[in-house]
Amino acid sequence: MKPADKPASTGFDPARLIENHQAGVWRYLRALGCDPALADDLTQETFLHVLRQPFEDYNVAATASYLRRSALNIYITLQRRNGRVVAVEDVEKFDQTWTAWAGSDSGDNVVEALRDCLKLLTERARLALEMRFRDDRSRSEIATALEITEHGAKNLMQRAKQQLRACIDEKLNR
Amino acid sequence: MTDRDDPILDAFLREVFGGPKPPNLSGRILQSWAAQQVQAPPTEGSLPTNPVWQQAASFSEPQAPPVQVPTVVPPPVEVVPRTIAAAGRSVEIRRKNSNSAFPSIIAVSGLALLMAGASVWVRGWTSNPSAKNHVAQHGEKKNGTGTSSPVKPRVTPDVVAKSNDGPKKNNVVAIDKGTSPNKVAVTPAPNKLPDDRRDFNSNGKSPNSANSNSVRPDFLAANSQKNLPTSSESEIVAFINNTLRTAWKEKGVMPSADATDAEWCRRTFLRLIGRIPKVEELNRFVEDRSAGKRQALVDQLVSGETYAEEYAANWASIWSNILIGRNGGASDEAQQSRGGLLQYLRQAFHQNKPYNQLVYELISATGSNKPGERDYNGAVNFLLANQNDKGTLATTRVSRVFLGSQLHCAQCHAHPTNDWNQEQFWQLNAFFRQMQVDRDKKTGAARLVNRDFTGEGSGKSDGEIYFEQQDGKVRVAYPVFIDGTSIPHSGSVEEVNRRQELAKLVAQSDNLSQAVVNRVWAHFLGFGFTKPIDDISAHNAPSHPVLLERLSKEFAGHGYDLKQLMKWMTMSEAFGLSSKMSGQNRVDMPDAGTLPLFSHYYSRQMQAEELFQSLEMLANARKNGTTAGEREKAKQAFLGKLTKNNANDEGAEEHIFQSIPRSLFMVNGEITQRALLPNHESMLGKVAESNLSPEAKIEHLFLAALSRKPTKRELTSAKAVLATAGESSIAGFQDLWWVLLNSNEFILDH
Repeated sequence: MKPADKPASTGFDPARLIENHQAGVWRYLRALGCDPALADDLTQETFLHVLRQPFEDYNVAATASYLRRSALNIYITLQRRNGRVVAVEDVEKFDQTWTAWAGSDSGDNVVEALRDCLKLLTERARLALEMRFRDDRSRSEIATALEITEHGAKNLMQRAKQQLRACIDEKLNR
Repeated sequence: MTDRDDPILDAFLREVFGGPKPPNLSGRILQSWAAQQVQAPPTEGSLPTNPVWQQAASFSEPQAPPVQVPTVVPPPVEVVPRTIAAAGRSVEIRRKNSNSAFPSIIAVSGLALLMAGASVWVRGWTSNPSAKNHVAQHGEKKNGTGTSSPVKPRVTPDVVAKSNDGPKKNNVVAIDKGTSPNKVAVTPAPNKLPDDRRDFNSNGKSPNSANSNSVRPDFLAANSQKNLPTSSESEIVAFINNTLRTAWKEKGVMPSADATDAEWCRRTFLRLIGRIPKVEELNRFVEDRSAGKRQALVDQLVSGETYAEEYAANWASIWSNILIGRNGGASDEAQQSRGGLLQYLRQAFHQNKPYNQLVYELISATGSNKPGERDYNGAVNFLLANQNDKGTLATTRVSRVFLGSQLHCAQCHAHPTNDWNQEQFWQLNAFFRQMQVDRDKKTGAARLVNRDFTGEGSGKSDGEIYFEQQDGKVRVAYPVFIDGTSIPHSGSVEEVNRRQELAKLVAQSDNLSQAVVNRVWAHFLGFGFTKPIDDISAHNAPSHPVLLERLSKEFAGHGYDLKQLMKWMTMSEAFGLSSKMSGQNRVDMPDAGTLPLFSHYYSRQMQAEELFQSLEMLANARKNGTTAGEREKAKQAFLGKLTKNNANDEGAEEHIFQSIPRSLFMVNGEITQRALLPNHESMLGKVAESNLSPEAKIEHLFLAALSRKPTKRELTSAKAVLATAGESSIAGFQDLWWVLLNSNEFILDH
């Protein structure tokens, strides 16, 4: 087999690029609504797309932002191909929040902050979120388990999430 | 706000609570990339440099054991394939990622298909030598064991032929109330469907494919067989003009003068994309001296890339109101999703999907209403909104919206003014009896499905339904379309998919094009050929029957192209007339109950959506710090105040546009307040801060709100308003702008 020609050198290390940013891209895609398998696929697609283009690594935040934009475009293209429409304005707001929370560290700090913040919640609130996000239980099931109304369960989770948002903001901005 | 309102936090919560964590994809990505590089060597200076394929070649991914790649095309680098768990995922993505494996997949798949095909052919041939003839005529049907067999003919040979002579009566037998339905003797069913309907699935795709946008069954494009006209646009516009002129002459009416360019531009923007024009759009059009500028503007609004999104969103909004009402899907409890339907319709109008295909998809839709699910189909939301225990709501809505026939009276008694009788209502209703809704408590999704319908009493597969006449007798009914076309009685979905059959009948019906032409005409010209527009029948004859018929046939002949239909109407003489009546056309007042003659443009209030979208544009809300979600919520809140659902079987709504809430909204509603904000993003702020003279600023505000310049008197009054606040003060411009937005002229389409 004839060996392939080597690409020209630009001092760029794709392995490190992938290693440093893959978690951030993957989490970003998950937050956009991809299931884990699709997030795997699109993360791979994102890096392949970026590696095919001329690319300069200015700094971590800029690269992360570039990768997210590429991931988003690939995601939108896939959705459109599947006959779905993505509200771009919503995505822009989404991206702003993401940048504020996990713009340059792939989201690891958010995970840590979230673990700490969860400890500040009441037992019932934490339990409600656990049932919702760990067990995928419906709102009515959560309400039944906690012996409250469905509306009460909704309010409980909303308040808990507001508390978590505020707590994470505080920890990340400190 | 719901408990699913923060996708970012939700995603992190899932991860923290033990959900999937980011995997290490380095090896997989590097190897795929390396494989691509070998296939397509990089260009100079465009690529990173590290010996990545050396890393890739030496990399071994522990989670994903390599699979033997067939040697059809020897891959230069062994591609680590996906794990078994990923087998169901996007093949397309995998193909792109692993170019070297792609030909192998094709080769293997092709071989497998060839073998499977050969196997089926051999089995069919050996088990039933005559099968191939049946298959050729009727296509194949799977029996319960999964083997192929031809469609079995019904026991009785009677065939109810398609007829235009009126509904067939021979498939209904009256029985006394209380008699066991099991003993009811019914006239035998027709033995088969006409081939053109049974074999529509000749493209090999599943006929149950409403969620497959690219599939267009052949029968939808079969209009060439009907000898439908396909005149040129100028011929059709000339026909419209001549027909209306003849009517004017007969009635002794003279049309109003032509509308000014600015008036025409304003109404064209409103009718086509649902908002008034911006000042720059208006000026560009008015200053254009070319002869074909009106045609050019219509083309731009209908087909241009600049307005594609607004066009699709406007018509999606209009049609969602028609299909499920303004309140449909607005509450959290509703099983239909307004957003889902809007999304489907936006896509359809963006693609300019043929109208008969759109209708076919809406009526035959199956799947989930929840985005993200594998069988997600936004079209299901139409029938989810119109679903009740016996499907009467769906029957009413389909006949009214798509066929221009108001059957709802006939649900309980013979129609008082036309020929519809109870039997016809229930025969049409029988098409919807396989339709069911599954609710997924876990995800909250509603799924529209078809299930076998075993009838309302006999328990047999005939799927009969019963209805009670006013004299107390109970009668039986089977699916029969309004033109008398019947289908086999079977309630088994595998044998007869009733909704699909109905969708085909509706899509091929002449009533379909008449109903939509009448509706679209009313949208552009202010009144339809009939009043109400969804009741076209002998007792409610159209005002211009020849014109309606010709336009309907041309519309069908042009492939049910809605954009084409809109162009004919906007380019007509009647659409370009002034709204000011003259002494010679005062008799043309449909508001007062006369037949419309279209001798002047009928002024009307903007629809609530048009008003909202115009204000939103003037407030520059898209760039003014608000998200699409916030804007949609604000819009729905506004519309909710103006509409009341009557909760009846017709799905009727009361529109309370001329009301105190509407007035208060205009006076100090959120969107008005936003339009009055003097910041640098808003139109008002930009004008006030500009270097224009006070007169020019006033003129700009008039053009923005009313699409015309101020009169001398108005200019003087406006200057007086500015003077009270000091000419440099923003407060004066805010006052003037508020006055313009709250003027009657602003909310008029004239």
